[in-house]
This record gives sequence, C-alpha cells and structure tokens, in this order.
Amino acid sequence: MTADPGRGAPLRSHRHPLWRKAPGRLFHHPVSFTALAIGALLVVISAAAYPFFVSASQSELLTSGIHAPTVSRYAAGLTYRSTLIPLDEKGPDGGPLYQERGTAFADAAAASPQLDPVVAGIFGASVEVTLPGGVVPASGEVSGRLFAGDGALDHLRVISGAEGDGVWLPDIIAEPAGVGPGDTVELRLHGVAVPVTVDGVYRGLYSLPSVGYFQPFNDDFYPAGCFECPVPPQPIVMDPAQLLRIATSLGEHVATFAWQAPVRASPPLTMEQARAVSRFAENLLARMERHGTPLGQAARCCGFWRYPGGGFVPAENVFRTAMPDIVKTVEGRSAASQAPILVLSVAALVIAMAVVAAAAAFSFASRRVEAGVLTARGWGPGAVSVKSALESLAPILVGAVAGFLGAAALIALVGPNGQVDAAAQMRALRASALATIVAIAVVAIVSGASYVARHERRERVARAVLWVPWELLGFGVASLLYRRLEIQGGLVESGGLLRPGAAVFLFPLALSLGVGILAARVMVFALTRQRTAGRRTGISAWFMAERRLSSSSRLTALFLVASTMSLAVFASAQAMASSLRATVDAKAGVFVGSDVQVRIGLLSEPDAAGYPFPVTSASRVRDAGAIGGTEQRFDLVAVDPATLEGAAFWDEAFSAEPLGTLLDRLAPPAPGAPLPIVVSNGEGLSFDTIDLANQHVPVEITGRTSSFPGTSSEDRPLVVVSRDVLETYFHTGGQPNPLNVAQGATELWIRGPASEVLATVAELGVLPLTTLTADDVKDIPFIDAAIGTFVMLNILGIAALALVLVVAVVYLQARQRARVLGAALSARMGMSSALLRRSLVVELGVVLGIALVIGGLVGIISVGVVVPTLDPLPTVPPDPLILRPWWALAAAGLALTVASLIGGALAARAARGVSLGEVMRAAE
Amino acid sequence: MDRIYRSPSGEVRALQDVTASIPAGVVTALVGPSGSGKSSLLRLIAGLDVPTAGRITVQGHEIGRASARERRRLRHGPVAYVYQRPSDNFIDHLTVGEHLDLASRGGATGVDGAELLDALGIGGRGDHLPDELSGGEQQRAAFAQALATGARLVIADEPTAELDSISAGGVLERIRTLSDRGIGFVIGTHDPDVMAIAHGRLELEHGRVKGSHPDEHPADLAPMSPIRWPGHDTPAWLESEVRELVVGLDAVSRSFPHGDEVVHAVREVTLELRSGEMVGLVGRSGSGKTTLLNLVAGWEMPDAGAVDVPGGTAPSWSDLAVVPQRLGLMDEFSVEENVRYPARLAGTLAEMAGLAGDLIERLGLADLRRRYPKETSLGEQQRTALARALALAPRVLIADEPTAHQDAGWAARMVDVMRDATTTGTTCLIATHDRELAPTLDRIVSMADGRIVTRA
Repeated sequence: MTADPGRGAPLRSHRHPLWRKAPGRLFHHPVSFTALAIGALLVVISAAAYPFFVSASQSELLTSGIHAPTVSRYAAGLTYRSTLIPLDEKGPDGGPLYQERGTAFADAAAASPQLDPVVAGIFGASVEVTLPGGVVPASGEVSGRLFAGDGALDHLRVISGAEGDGVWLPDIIAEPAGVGPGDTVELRLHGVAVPVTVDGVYRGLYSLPSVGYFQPFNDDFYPAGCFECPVPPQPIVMDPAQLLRIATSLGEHVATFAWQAPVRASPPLTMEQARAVSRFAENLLARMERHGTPLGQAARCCGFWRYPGGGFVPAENVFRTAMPDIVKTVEGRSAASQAPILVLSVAALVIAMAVVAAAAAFSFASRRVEAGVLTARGWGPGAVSVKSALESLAPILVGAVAGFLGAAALIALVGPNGQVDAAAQMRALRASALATIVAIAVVAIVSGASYVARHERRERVARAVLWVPWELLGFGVASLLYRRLEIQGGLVESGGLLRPGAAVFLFPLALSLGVGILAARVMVFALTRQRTAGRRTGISAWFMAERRLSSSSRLTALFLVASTMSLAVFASAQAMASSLRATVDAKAGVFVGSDVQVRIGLLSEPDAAGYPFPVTSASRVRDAGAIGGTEQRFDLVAVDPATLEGAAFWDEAFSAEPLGTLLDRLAPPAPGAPLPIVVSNGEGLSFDTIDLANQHVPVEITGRTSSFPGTSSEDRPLVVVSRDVLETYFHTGGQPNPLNVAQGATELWIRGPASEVLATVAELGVLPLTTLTADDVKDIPFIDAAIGTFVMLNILGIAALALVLVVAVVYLQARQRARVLGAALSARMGMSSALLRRSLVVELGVVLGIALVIGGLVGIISVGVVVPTLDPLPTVPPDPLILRPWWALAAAGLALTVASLIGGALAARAARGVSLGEVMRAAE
Repeated sequence: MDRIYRSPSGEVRALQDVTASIPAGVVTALVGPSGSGKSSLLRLIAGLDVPTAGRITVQGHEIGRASARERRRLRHGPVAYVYQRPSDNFIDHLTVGEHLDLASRGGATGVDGAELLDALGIGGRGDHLPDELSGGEQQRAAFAQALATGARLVIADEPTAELDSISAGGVLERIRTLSDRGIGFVIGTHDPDVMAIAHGRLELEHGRVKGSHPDEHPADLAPMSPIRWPGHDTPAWLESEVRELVVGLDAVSRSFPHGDEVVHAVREVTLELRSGEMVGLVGRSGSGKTTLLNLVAGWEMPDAGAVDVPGGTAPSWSDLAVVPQRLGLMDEFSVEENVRYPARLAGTLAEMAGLAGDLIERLGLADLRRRYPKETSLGEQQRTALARALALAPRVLIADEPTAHQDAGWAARMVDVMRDATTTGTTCLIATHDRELAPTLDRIVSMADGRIVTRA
C-alpha cells in the first residue's frame, strides 16, 4: 500500500461511474424522480404563468377595448377624414383630389400588417325626400343625407329589400313616406329633383347603438347633447358613383370623405401589436404632416386647410385613432391587477421552490447509505451538491418542459381569453430557464446542507433552528399586516389607480404560518405526552398512528404546517373571492336596481305585456325631504309592489323578512291612515311623519332593511313607498306629484342578460333616456384584479394541498416499503390488513383533520379582517358582505377524507405487496 | 472524553470519561459488550463524530476542534472506515470494482483491487452489484474498499461478525499482512480470532474504559480450515422419550433466477425438528441457510418438496416466531413496546406481561426500555428482537445469526434464554457462524451449496 494522505487524485474524476452515471441515476429512484419533476413543474408553471397571464389578460382587455360599442375596430384603427372636398378638385397627380387622397392614405396604411384594407365613406348633402312629382308625404317633410360607403350595407340593420342599383332609405324616412323596396322617390335640393329607386329600408342609426363603421359620422347621425333634440337626417345609402352623380345633378360640389383602416378582425391583436399600431399611427401622422413629401401633399393633414380658390373655409382634415387611448386604458387596468398577481406568482414560486427543496431532501434521505459511503470516503458537501445537481438534471428538465407547456395550457384553458404574444412567450421562456437553473441550484444547496446536517454532526445547529419560535415571526408579521390593513385599508394607490395591497394577500399567509407552527408544536407535545403516559393494553388504529406520528415528530410537524398553510390559503381565498363577488353584486344590484336600469320619462308607460324579461318601474328622488321634525334628509324610492319582487335585485342578507312580505305591507292603507313605508339604511331611526314636497306626510314604518334596490347613497336613509299610494295621497290632497322634481328620475329595472335586455328594450315602447347595467357598475378594475387574484390564490391553495397530499401518500408508501419486514412480522403477530390500513388512514387523517380545522379557522378570521378593507364602492350600500367558506371547507374535508382513505389503502398495499422472500434473500 | 447523544427519549451517554491511547501501525481490538460504546468510539476516531466533551487526537488532528473540512481530509487520506452493517458500505448502483475504484481514487493509491478481492476470497465478484452479494461477501468487499483507500489507519466495526471462519480467516490474514507493513487497525469486535491477532486491546463497558492492554502480542494464527462443529451426545431426554415432531421438511428445494443464472439455494433438504430441540444451522456465507429459514418461516415457497410447520401455511407468532438477520424492529415503538408488541396484537398483554418483563430483564434491556431501537446498538437491537420472538412462548423459534453482534457474555445469555424456552417446548432453529454456540446446541445441521452435508 502506498498511501499519500490527503494528496490523492481528485475525487471529481469525470471518468468514474459515480459521475458518469449521475445524470441517469434518478431513473432508478422513481419516487425521487417524480417528486423532483413535480417540483420543477410547479416552479416553471409559477415562473411562466405570470408573463403568459399578463399577456393573455392584456390581450383580452385589448379585444374588449377594441370591440367596445363606442370604439370598434374601425375607431381603433386609423381614420382619415376630410370635410368638404370639392368633387372637381384635382390632386397633385392630376386625378380627382378625393381619389388621390384616399389612395395615398390606403397605400400608406397597407404597410401595417395589423390593419385591414381601407374602406371609404362619402357623406354628402342633406336632401329632401319626396314622392314622385314632388309630393310631400302626408306625415310631413322628411330629409336624409347622401351617403356611400364600402360595404355599408353590412353594417345596417336591414328591414326589407335587396341590393340593387337604387338607394336604401332609413325607416324614419320610408315609413312616414309609405315607400318600400321597388318604389321611386325623389331627392331634392336647390329645387332640383333626382328620382331614385328604393332598393330597401333599414333601421335608422339614431335608434340603435352606435356602429363602429359609421364612427367618422357619428356626430352627424346621432342626436347629441340633448334628449329632446330632433333626430338628425339619416343616411340615404347608395353606391359611391351614384352619390357623385346625384350630388352633381343636385348642384352640390363638395362632400365629406372618410377613409378607415380598421384593425384586423382576426386573429385578435396582441398588446405588442396594438402598441405597434399606435406607433404606426404616430409615424404615419408625422409623415402626413410633412407637406413637402408626396404623402403629405396627397393626404394633407391636419387642421383647417386653405381652399385653392383663396381664403379659409371651415373644412378640415382629421386623422385619428383610438388605439393609444385603448392601449393606455389596458395598461392601466392591467397594472392594477399585475401587482397582486406578481405577489402571488412570487409566493407560488417560493412554495414551488420549497417543494423542490423537500423533494431534494427526500431524495437525499432515501439514499442515506450512499451518503454514508461518501462520508466515509471523505467527500465534502460541495462534491455532494454537484453530484446531486447532476442527478437532478433529468427530472428537473422533464418537469420544466412539462411546466412550460402546462403553464401555456393552464392559461389557455382557465386563464384570460386572450392571445399570448411572442414577446411574452420569450419572457416566459427566459423566466422558465432561470427558474430551472435556480431549482437545480436549490437541489444542490439542499443536498449539500442535508449532507452537512446529517453526516457532519451539526445536530446542535439543527436543534437550535427547530427551537427558534418561528410562530412568533408569523404572528408578528400578521400583526403588522393587520395594523396596516386597519390604518391604511386594503387598497393602495399606484399610478393613479387603486389596487389591493400586498397586505391583503400576505395576511392569511402570515397568520396561517404562525398558527400552523404553533399547532405543530402543540401536537408534537401532546403526542409525546400521550406516548409517555400511554398505558393502553390493546391495539388499535389510533395506537399505531399515534406511535408513528410521535416517533417522527419533525416530519409530522412539517406535514401539519404545510397542510395548514395550504388549507388556510384555500379557505381564505375561497371566502374572500366569494365575499367580494357577493359584495360587488349586491352593490351593483342595489345601485342599478336590477340587472339593467333604463331611465325613462316620469309619465312614460312601458308596455311590458309579452316582454320576455321581468320589468318593474320605480321612481327615485334623491334628497327628497326630511324626517318629520328633524333635519335628517332622506332619499325616496317609489316602487310598484306588484312587479318589484320579480324584477329587482334582492339579497336575503338585506332583511330578516322576505321581500314579498315587505312589499305586501306597502299596500294602500285605509282612508286617513298613514302611508306605509319601508325604511332602508336607517338603523335606529324611528318616526311617524316625513316632510315631502312641503307636506307633512304621516307614515307608518312597516318594515326595515339594511339595503334596498334603488339606494344611491349610504349617507341618507331610504324611504320606500308604493308609487300608486304616494301619488294617490298627493293627488287626493290636490298637491303636485312629489316625484316630478328635478332631482327625481323614473327607471325601469329589468332582470335578464344585459345584452339581450338592451337589444330588446325598444319593445317596451318607451323612449330610453339612458341605460345602465349592473355589469357597468361592477366593471371596477381593482375589484376585477382582487377577485382574479383571489381566484389565483385559491388555485394555488388547492395545488399546494394536492401536492401536500401526494407527497404525504408517496412518503407513506415509501416508508411502508422500507418497513416491509416490520409489517410482515406484524402480520405474523396478528396485525390484520384492515387494522394496518385503518392505522395509516388515521395517521394521515389526524394531521389533515387538524390542518383543516386550523386552516378553516384562519380562513374565517382572514376574511373577517380583510374583506371590510376592500369596500369597492364605499358610498353604495350594503357594507361588504362576509361569506364564510363552509361549503369550501366541507368539500375540502370530503376530499381530505377520500385522500386519507386512498393514501392509507395505497400505503397498506405497498407494505403487503413486497415479496418478503426477496427482501430476506438479499440479506443472505 | 465524553459522547452524549440527545434523542426524543432522552440522553444517551455513549462514552464517559474515556481516556486511552491507541498506538499507530498496530492492530487494536476494541472490545466490550454490545452497547458498551465501541461503535461510538470508532466513529469518533474516524472523524465521523465529535466528542461532547474532552479531546480525541488522531494522527495529530484533534477531532473535537477540527473543522468538518479537516475531518473530511482525514477520511479522504490517512483514515478509512468500515461500517458495522455490510450493506451500509455500498452505493447500490456501483459494482464492487467501481467501489474499489472510488475508494482508490481511480487507482491513485496504488492498490491493486483485483488482487485484494482475490486475497479476500471474492475474486470473481468485481463486476457484481452489492445486492448480488451475500452478507459475508458484502462484508469482505466493504473491508476491501477500506484497504483500497491506501489509508494508514483502518477503522472497522465488527468486520467479521457475519463471516464464516474461512472467510474471516482471509480477512484476518490480510490484516496481519498489512499490519506488518505499518498499517494500523482499530477493530470493534466480539470475535476471539480478531482479538487473537490484535497487538493491543481496549475494553469498554457501559461507555467507560474497563481495561487497556496495549502491549499484547498477537497470537499465532492456526492454519485456516473449515470449522468442524463439535458434535455431542444426543441429550438423554431425547432418547428417553419420543418428542413430538414440530417441523418437517421433506426433500425441499428452492431456486431463483439471478441474472442469467439459476441459483439453487436449497436442494432436496429433508429435516425434522422435534419439540424442545435447539438445532444449529451452520455453513458458509451463501450456503442457503437464510433461504432454508425463509422456507420454514413461510416467506419462501418451495419449488419442490413439502414444509410442515405448526399453524400450516399461516402460522401465528405463538406457532412460529422469527429473529431475522435484519431484525425488523418497529422504529416507532420503544424497546419495551417492541417486546410487548406480539402480546398486544394477540390481546394477551396482561397475561404475558410477566414473561415479557423477564425477557427484558434477562436480556439486559431494562435500562433501554424507553429508547427507540435506533437509539440502541446493533447488539441491543438483536436482543430486543429475540425477546420479541419469545414473548409469546412460541412452539418454534427461527433465528438468523442472533448473536452475530454480541460479545461472548451476551451471546451466552441469549443462548440461556433460548435454552430456557426449549424447556417449555419451544423448538429453536438457529443459523449461526458463532462456534461458541456449538456446545450449547442439541444438534447441528451443516449446509453447503444448498444441501445438508452433516448432521451432528
């Protein structure tokens, strides 16, 4: 033997099979491989999901912004409008000016792949429409505007007719004139008449929601600024050539032209592409403003322009696009949700890294003999770390690839309904790569640390770490967050936008950490005491489970803390998301009255017979009067008790009594009896008269509610009365109707899908002044963000819990396999399969049961603390509703029971399934 | 020097006030009953552990003050260590040859691995994985690794405990040869042969030094030959009456595939055991002893022949109890709970409490009753397993190397306990390499190549 102490060849000889076999090593340890792969999968999902989510969310918001009724892809694209272009004016190249201008703009716009081909619209003079021979229709004079546009018919609601060589009249002209398809009318201007054939009739634009295609002419076709304004002349739609011919015939030599390059219809734009459109528009405008260039000469822009004949005329060139505003809005809304989502992503990443660390520790512990051999050979933690990192390459890469694909699939399936742009994909790829490297580093660090702790006699340090009261850290952080929530509220302002602060999400996590660790300590203490004091003479599942739990107390504690945190996150997120939803729904429902609110005139009489959705009418008067003998002001809402219950929004939390009962009490009183009223938002108020419209009105409070449909202020109580009863009272007294005041409004409250209700509201036969939907009220970015965040948190909680369960079951199985000899001997001694199975079920079930109770408690406390700080509309009642997560906890309890049963059965099967002969033979 | 372990069940004072010196370049036997602190001291000398108090200096390095790096350097260079359990010395996916390569740092130590394996009698096992070796082969291969490191000091914890005398002889021969070249050995052992070649002896008891004999001269080794287990007269009581036949094996064979080969572990074995007999089953490592015990225990099914045991195919613990080589103690139970476990499962805890108590007392487990098995020595675990096996006074006791990690005193005590059991009708079948047991047995059955070759 020739030994040279400490001067041997380097241990890390790459030729040695220990290194050579390392990359494929874990294929022989499927549990470790799977655990690491799952950890890496979660890490990469956490890392990649954020850029995917942000991009998809922005795309969804973008699509929503582009397709908003007041925008459309036409307004979101580029619009170039030139008013009063002389039809006979020549352009720089000698062709008609309007033609050269349109062509120049279209050619320039075609350079953007995000834009569809340009469509042109021509808006001509206002002409009188008569019957042949100049006969004015019996209903009186009617007029319209000459209009031609590429594909215009596709954007009209056709009533009757078919394409031909004639014109399309709006119903507001055709119906009074009594003309239809095939009839002839005359278009008159300056005493000249041009006969045209009517190809068809369409619904006048003024009576329908605005259409993007006509947006350059909205100001001309829609009444604006006043309700009683006359309807502007509606377009008489025809072919462009026909328009030019008719205009010339009528002696009109100018027309307004609009060229629109809409953003492409499909595939939907991504945020990057939207920004590209904005930049393109900016560049194009700059080029058009350089009047010395061919484009600047052909498509002049912008502002008033000088008529060649001399002098200034009130004509102008306008270039516009809504895209920068849309992008800004999307960025603003997205920013509101990004911060909390980022917090969650980081939290998810930390949890996922913890899973990787746990998997690495498990992998290391399951090969304790190997580590022992390396210890005896003098290996250091560095070499062990590098070897572990090499071994983890395969599972982590497998998990990372699956995680990247999983993140993409997750966002596609359950995430925002928007496209993920290429830049986001690259960001996700980079984040995934970085997270993968970090995960491998975590494996290396944990393996090295485990090696040091287990094989280099550092138990004292490990024991000291365990004795540190970490729960105080959790409680301390939770306490600080609680104070912050109390003082500052749950919402913070960032970039001019309100968004939920990190405290909202971190409070349940910190609290669950503290409670979980404390519970683990108590449990370990109780188990140890029980074991010491135990003098049972029999055998039971509980006895076996208790012994197993107390003998591996560190693992039990770790499992309990992880389960408690997972369940607390799950319960908190469930409760907060549902509470916020319920609160927003209630506030929107109360404010709007129902799903849709249509404001009408006080005297309008809707015809609801045959209308497909429940409707009720209500008149409300803000600051209507004062409580008798006091200065306490109140709002008034006069309802129709017969129809309100079916149509209005109601939440049982508003009153201890059913709505129907309350409404029944609003029935007409006996002559001379006080008016029956219901008082809402007036806790503690007691009165028998109100001062209304200069009258002292005797009232009787027949019911009380905390909130009521039609409430618009939380500062004043609301008096609810039957409209008929109120009007009759005042009418009988010869007094004016108190509802007919400036601050009053009469509304229809309609229950049903908003889009369908809005589309059919004309069937009620009333003229809608304004409409408002509950969805409009609920469209509050930070609330969307908060709910979305809690949903993410919820998914995170479920995922963490599922993971804890899988790890627990796998660990139980692995441990039972390792104890196969003990299990076989136990069977020989009389341990039945059923008892073994039951004991394993109890072992798992006890920890999960305690975790469920504590996690649920933390969830309930958290929701009670956090939700009141997130009042989305503080001026609108009711106060935030707090929903307890009973159903979620019951479902979780059921899932945990099933998991315990399955886990116990699998572990028992694993113990029984091993060939004892093989095990014993290996010892020979 | 002190070494105190803290565990969930309390403090374990493994070593107390130990003061001793071990000369370099000689063979030193570390002896003492199981649980006396031998393994703890060996780990300290190897730098695998540090003392709680006091000092320990190995080749100029003070272990207690040395950093982890310095202790690693010690094991990486001048000190090699062999774990007590043979299987603890192997990485499951490396062959024996690769282990030697790892230990010799790619041959940098200049040790010829193939020659080493040949010398230890496992020359053909270089390409085998650890699982393909018998326990005895593993023990020799583990020792070979320590030698391959080229260390100046080899520390081994019971390196011959599971070896038959011929295999052990090969190991001892190598030790002596290397010792002559100045390599030092510190060997924890109960083996008289090891003690015989040792230059010095350090004796521990209850964690304290009982005696130190540094100047002993090694005894001359007798030429190695197969052990001839001493036969003795059939006990009078067996002749005087016809005892009940309890276990019967009739032309039993068992083979199983092993790679491309078929290993005939047991071949046409016919054996009868009668009530109250204490029968030894001996033979070299790999001779088929454990397979035969497994067949009797019902953990292996014979390919041919018949096995008849009390309880038939599903014997209870009171029919047939086992002390496996791997013991199979329940980690989650204390020593006492392990002993009482069979009675608890049988619902006879109260009735059998006295017997369990006696077993605990007689097997020296009284002070350990609240400890978990992992907090006790391997020898103590063996005694716990024996107490558990006898806790229901079984009709048949099968024990696989039950005294392998015991000193002579405890081994004798264990035999006494088993002998007592036979007086109540328990039949004992004991696989062993321990020649000290021979005079105490009623009968010895010797196996080779899966067959019974002698019945004494």
